[in-house]
Amino acid sequence: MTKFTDSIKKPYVYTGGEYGVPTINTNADVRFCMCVSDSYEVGMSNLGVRILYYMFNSMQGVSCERCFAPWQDYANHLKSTNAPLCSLETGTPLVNFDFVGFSMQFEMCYSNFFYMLELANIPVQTAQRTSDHPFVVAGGPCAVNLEPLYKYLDFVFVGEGETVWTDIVNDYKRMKGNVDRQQFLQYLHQTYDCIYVPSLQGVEYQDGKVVSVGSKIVKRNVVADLNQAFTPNTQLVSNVELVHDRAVLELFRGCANGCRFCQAGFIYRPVRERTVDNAFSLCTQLLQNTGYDELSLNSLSTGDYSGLSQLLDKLLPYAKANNVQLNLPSLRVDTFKGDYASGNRKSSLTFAPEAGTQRLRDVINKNVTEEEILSAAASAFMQGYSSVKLYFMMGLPTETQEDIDGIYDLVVKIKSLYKKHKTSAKALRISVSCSTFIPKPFTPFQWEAFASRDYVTRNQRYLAEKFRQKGIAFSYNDYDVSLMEAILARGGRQIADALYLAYQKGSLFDAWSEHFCWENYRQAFEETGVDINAIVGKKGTSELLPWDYVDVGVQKLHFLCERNRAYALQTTPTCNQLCRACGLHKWGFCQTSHGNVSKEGK
Amino acid sequence: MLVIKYTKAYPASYAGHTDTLRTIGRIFRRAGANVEYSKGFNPHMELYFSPALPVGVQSTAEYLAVKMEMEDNLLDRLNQFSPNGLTFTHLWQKQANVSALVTSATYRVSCKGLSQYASQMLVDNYAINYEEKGQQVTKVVRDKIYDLQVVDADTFLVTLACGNVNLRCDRLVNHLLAVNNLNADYSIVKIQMQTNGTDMDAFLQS
Ligand code: SF4
Repeated sequence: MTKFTDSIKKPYVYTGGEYGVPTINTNADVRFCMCVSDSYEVGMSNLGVRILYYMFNSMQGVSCERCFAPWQDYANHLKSTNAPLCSLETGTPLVNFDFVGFSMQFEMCYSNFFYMLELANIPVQTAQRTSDHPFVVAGGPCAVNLEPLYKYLDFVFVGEGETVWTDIVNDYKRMKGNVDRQQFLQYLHQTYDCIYVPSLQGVEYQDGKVVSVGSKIVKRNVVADLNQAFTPNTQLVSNVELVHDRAVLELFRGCANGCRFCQAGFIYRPVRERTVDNAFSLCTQLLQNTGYDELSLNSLSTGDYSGLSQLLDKLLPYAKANNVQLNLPSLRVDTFKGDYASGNRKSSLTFAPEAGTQRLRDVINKNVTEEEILSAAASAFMQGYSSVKLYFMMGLPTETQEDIDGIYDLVVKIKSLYKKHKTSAKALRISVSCSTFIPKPFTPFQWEAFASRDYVTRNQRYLAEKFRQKGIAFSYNDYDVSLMEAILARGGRQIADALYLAYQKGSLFDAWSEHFCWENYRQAFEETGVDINAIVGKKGTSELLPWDYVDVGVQKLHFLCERNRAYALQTTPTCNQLCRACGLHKWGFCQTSHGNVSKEGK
Repeated sequence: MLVIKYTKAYPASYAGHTDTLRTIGRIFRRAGANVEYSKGFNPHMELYFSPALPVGVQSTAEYLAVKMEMEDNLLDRLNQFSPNGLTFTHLWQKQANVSALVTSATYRVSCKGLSQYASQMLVDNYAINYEEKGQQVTKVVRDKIYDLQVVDADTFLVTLACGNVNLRCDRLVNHLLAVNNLNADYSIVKIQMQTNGTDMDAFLQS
């Protein structure tokens, strides 16, 4: 024991030394520090970070290390000892790297980005950085609209990193010392479609509104074939428990369903599946190399994998023989087959009907019927499941009182099914969670308004009371948290100053509800003259949007068409059933098969 | 049944007890060791550990019992698959529940200038203050202090009750520091476990 471990709550998350860390060459030509502006336990669980980490470290003359947002006790320790924030692998100050890259997974982590830069003694603003400083870059799902951080980021990588990043790093290796900072940024701006350099884009704002997004259209980078893409066959195994502390295989990327509220469903298109052989081989390698006894098959909708039953035919016996527990998350209701889960611990059953009535489910294109939900629940109860979690949203476009009541009615129906079909002696545990819908960029609902405080809190109270009377656990998001997320997701350059100001007022770890302080942001918006309503309010379809400089591959026309279909209560079939020519076909995808599903899997 | 002795040093010493149990289970899996699993609904590896070590305390004398047959090069294989700080050092083929057997442990305490105050702990009815579950408590611990050997001005060895009757060395050291107004950093290494006064290694060897 030392003074350090006495005073720091989670000392292990600052030491590095996990199993699986590659040898790091501190004399490498290019040194990259991969950062997640969230806690170690969250950041270490990130799949994208894992891929790039191993990919960079596999490159000649390149080394990659990690850094996560420290908790405040450790930050105070750094400040009191005058030490800068360092990488985990070699304890190198972040400021000494060539690139400090942030994987932006979630908008609510932006304040921690300032926090990490300041702890690292890296100037927060791009304009203040010199040749002594690393390039501060960002990627990840939030990269489709990082305008709120435009003056803090040197460049942004939009899309999937397995390709192009290697080229950029090699270019840098070649050009380092011959060109200055500005010239390198200029080079990236001109050379790579997926690179966004905010300082060179020529974006213009007038009265807090975007009037020009500049001339370059930044194209999301999309990996053609997951089977060929760089995929690590191991993971770092921490000595402390992570948020997702298990072996994780990315089964496929993209989602064929086209739920209209879901940004991931559009910005990861098209579906790209691994073959069953590739998936199985990676699963066994990951388990052997990590020693994990738990495995997740990850994707946006694992139940839709075309080779699922072939894969499970191989995986289930392997798992049984090797004492591995299989987790199959995010199975959509309509693909739920009770037997996939048999042989495992009877965990909780998860349904995400998202809306309470068929009408509203048609609006959001959640193509699942009440009968399907009820029959899936009944068959699960017959198999011994005694715990159900249900996810809904509130504040969806066209929502009425009937839809709100529909949430309650559906839950009550499921509850009464249990009495009829249960085989477990346990009492049913049922929990309902209702989040607030956020109209995100690059969805057919990107023009919609975020619901008002009055509407949301009134309906939350209404449902909470009804469920309380039935003895059903009901949870919902705090309005301020959802509002903040909506502002960050939809905001443009006009909120950049306010975000830094809120950080200076003490905002940190906003993704952790116990830390989030709306008052800091409210004041910061007021002081910098930001009109929140203009950001979260309804937008005209001909209006220029702050994120219009990005082309994710799905055309605006498709979003508009889907929006019209939503209002007309028309559902849209999945990519596997019928290609709606959303735009990815123009990028060379989805040519020979609907939805780009691998044929071998069938 | 095998009994394995291992070292828990920095940075592995910064992880808590349950985290370490999980880590060691994974080392056995990576090494492909054929450990038996419990029967039943939720099978787990049959591993049994010596008493918990507080976060930050290092040890060269931790033990674990594992239900498996002897295998070739087992220690080398385990070490090959271990994270920094965990090293497997000895192996006995023996049926022994170390957790129940251990009665005392010796610690090496290193702290600038602390040795001159160490003998304070030998006075009758010696009591220490520490925090437990958010509460400040005072406890007489003299009966749990079995031996003290000063090595030099900055190092001493102390043997304390360990196991069912237990005294945490870090609490003793922190109390010594506090009452003598010292603010130096310190380190604690558990260097031996005993069963009724016999070195655990010798006992396992017999
Ligand atoms: S081009 Fe067609 S199949 Fe491909 S993602 Fe778009 S809608 Fe789906």
